[in-house]
Amino acid sequence: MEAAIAIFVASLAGSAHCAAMCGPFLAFASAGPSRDGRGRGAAMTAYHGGRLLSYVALGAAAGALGAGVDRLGALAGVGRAAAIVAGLLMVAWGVDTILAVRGRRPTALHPPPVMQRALGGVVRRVAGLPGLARGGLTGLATTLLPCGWLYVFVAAAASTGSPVRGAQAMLLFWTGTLPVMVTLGFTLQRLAGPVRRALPLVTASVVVAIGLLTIAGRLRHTGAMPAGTPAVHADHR
Amino acid sequence: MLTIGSPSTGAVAPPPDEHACAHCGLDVPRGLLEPDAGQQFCCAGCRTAWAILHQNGLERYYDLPDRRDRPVQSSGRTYEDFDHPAFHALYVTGVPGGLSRVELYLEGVHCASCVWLVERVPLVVAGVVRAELDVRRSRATVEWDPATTPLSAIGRTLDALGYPPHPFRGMARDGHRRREDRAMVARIGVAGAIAINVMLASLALYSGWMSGMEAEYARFFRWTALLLTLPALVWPGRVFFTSAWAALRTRSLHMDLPIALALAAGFSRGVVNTVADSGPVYFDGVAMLVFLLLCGRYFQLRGQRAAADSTELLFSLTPLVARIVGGNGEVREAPAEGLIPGDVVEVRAGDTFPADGVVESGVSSVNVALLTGESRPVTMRAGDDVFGGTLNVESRLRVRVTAAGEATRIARLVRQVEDGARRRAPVVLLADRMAGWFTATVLALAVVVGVAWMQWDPARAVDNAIALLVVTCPCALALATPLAVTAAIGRAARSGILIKGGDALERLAKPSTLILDKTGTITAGAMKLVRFDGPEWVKPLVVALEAESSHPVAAAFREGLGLQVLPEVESSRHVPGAGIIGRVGSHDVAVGKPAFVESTGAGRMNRPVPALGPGRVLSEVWIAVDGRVAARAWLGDAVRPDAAQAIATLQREGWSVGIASGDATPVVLAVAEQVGIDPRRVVGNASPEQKLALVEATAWRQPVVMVGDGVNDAAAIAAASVGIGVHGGAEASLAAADVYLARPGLAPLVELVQGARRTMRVIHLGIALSLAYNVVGVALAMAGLINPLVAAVMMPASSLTVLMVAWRGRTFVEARP
Repeated sequence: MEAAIAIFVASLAGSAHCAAMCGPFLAFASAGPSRDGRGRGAAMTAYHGGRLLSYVALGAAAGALGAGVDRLGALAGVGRAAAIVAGLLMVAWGVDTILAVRGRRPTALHPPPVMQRALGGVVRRVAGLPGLARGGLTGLATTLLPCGWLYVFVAAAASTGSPVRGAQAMLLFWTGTLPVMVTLGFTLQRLAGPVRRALPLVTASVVVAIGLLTIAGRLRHTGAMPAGTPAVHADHR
Repeated sequence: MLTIGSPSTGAVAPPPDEHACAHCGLDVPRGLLEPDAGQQFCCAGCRTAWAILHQNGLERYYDLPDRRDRPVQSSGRTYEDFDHPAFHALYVTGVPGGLSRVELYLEGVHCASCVWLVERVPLVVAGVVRAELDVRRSRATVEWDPATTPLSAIGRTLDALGYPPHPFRGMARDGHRRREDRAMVARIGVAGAIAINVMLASLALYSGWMSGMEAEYARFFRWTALLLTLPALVWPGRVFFTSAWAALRTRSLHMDLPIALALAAGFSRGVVNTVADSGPVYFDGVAMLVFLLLCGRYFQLRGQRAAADSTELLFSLTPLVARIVGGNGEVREAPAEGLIPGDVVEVRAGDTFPADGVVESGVSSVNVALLTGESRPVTMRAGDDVFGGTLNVESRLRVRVTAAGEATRIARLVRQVEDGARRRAPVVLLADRMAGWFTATVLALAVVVGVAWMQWDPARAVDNAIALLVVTCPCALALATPLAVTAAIGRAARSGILIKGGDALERLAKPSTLILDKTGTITAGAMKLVRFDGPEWVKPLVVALEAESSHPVAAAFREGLGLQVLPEVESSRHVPGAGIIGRVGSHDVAVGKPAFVESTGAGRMNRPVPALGPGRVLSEVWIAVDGRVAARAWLGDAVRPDAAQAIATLQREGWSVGIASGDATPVVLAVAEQVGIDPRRVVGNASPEQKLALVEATAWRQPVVMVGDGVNDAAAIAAASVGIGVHGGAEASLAAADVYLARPGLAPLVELVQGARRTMRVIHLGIALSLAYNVVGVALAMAGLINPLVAAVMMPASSLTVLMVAWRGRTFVEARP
């Protein structure tokens, strides 16, 4: 339960970033030949639906991976291996981000170009499709964005050590992103200065806190551990 | 704080010492700054997203917010017209607290960030209380204190922010609808919440009865239900009482009257039983009834509106978006509704003109058939007038707007049709009267049911009477009938048939006499010169005289003789239905029917008629020069391919079809034979006056439908029971005619009469359904087989069925030609 609340709150707190980053894709998905409100609403719904599907799938996969790590850890005599690895990754990402805000140059790891090509291909192919299909497919492909924030939550999903709970964790993450993405749109540029400036620091601190709690086993969803995926490293800059 | 002159300062753009992510606009952590890079990114995701957008040509997205980060070019308009009393009278409404409200169309609204910016206006302009932007419609609602702030200041601010404002015209209607909706939804919400709570209390009572409840608990729940129900009647349910009361005061019978009575009776009975501390309380029923009835009414309202909107689709005649040319020559798209006189718009080939105006630059041909009936494109160049709704055929024009929106010719035309649509068909008037009788009958029956059941089973008397009051609804009569007429007119309009009134629709549903004009109706109207018998020197005189005329004969001469160098025309006079006479060069020239040319003093021509080929029916035209017939010409006009079939269809449906034409009798007879019209119903050589006399004589015996040229036959068309204009343009035709067919040929005529018949069938079906439903409902209620709740569900369900039949019924086939 605490884990659920923590994931939801963290997702909500950081969703301003999601809205700003994915805004253009949402705009692309919902602007098209059918300009009327109903068509646009349907396309937006399809976009969020597609996003949900791919997140949940990713969460389940991460959870399964976490389960494997847990089992390996058990063989080696280490309990809760997935939670410890995931927690460490979260703390590392958070600390790295905080240091970057303070001016230290992080080790730049570039995301594999295949992700960019894949998402670009989707954007090109769905451009001519009707609103619903365009929205849904764009939403599905959004997961391909090498977004560090997203993969922090994938790590959290892995830390559960269970595909079902992993999927649940990503469902909570998706729910947390909704309010801002639906209401505010993609207008983060317009956030008042202080809020905007503090945003990276706040989100990074939240992630460090959750990571520490995960390592300490204080977030109750009992669990296993993910190995750091390349994507997680990718955003460690 | 935002400042007007430079929106780039403050919260709108980052201070120079910070760096925003090129993609998401959030601050880039200092450690990630790349001093040499063109763009800065806050994370790998943003870098990827930025690259994808650029690779796929979607980088326009970045222009939207970027516009705000640079100082916006103000248009420099002063918006003084916004302070004019006439402007206020038209567009500004008062709101409580001495404030005013205006709705403005904003140019340049793209995305949600515009919402943020526009909604900051109250911070910028003192006196503005509220600013809201509907980004989808580019429409801002502004409330301000007119005592301290002129509207022009708000206009200038919006302009300075990059959103030049224009008044929004549909405000009254839209505002009204929105208020209606908001109040309705609020009422439904409150009624629903109350109904659920009352149901809970009642549930406790019912289960208490079964399991034996202590008296004080039963009393508690009764009183709770009463106290909960009271507000449901006082607020959400009040609509029924107020409208019933209004009906009583005007001594008319409204369908809310039985409902109000039912609610009042149920509630009073419940109060009596609560105070007496015995017997059933009806509060659950009353509260639920209010909720369900309000829901039903809401859906009904939406249905009605959707149908009314189909008439508004006439506005599809003009485009929604105009290309406005800015001060620096840049072209941007803006809602056509926001155009104001003085704007310069660009109209490309294939575009419809968004407003009336004067051509500033460019030369193009324009199809003005919609307004004037002239089927050939007219050449327009700088200084020429162009009109909204007409089509630019050839090349790009820049037009300075002289009249926009409601002031355009096309809008006047649309208004005529809309006004006409309000003209009530006899069937609608009948339905209205029936609805009154219906309500009276229902009230009487309710009393009978109540009294009868009192004798029989007093406990159920009130329930049954209430069920009867609720289940009956004259809605099909009062609403469905006009709805069907409106929907049919709207649908017809979209397929190029403009109908000016419901009464015309009803008269067209029953076959009677139909008189057709020949030229342009049965025939294509495009005359061709078949033979010219006369000396060469006459030809330039004829072409010069006919040069300015739009008559088909003139067009045939121009095309057939095809001369370029013409003598000067000193004067010319058109004699309707006869010919044209004038002075060309130094000659007196008359061109027209033999009888007309003879009447100008020219003698007969004694040469033999040349052989023109077998079976050709041609009109003969004489040309007299200086008082002598100098040449003769023969012109022919082909019968439309669909004419014979269309006329056969009409005759099969019982129409008695005839022809009245100004053309020579043998020509008309030959055409009649080709399309299968009885020669006894053919009148040739008819002047407009004779056509009028014919129509009047026929109309005296039976209804007569006259189909003809909206200009030349205007008198006959106006005199007919139903006048139908087919050419001569919508504008002129609809002045006299009830119907204008914007598509050529007889097929739309067949569509019209068939559509009219189907409309009447839909109306009759609606009335029959409603009567059947009511008879069944009344029978069930009288027999005590339904309780008020079931009745409350049945009533809106049946109303909806009938309304859907009326609205969706197949009347006219919507198809854009």
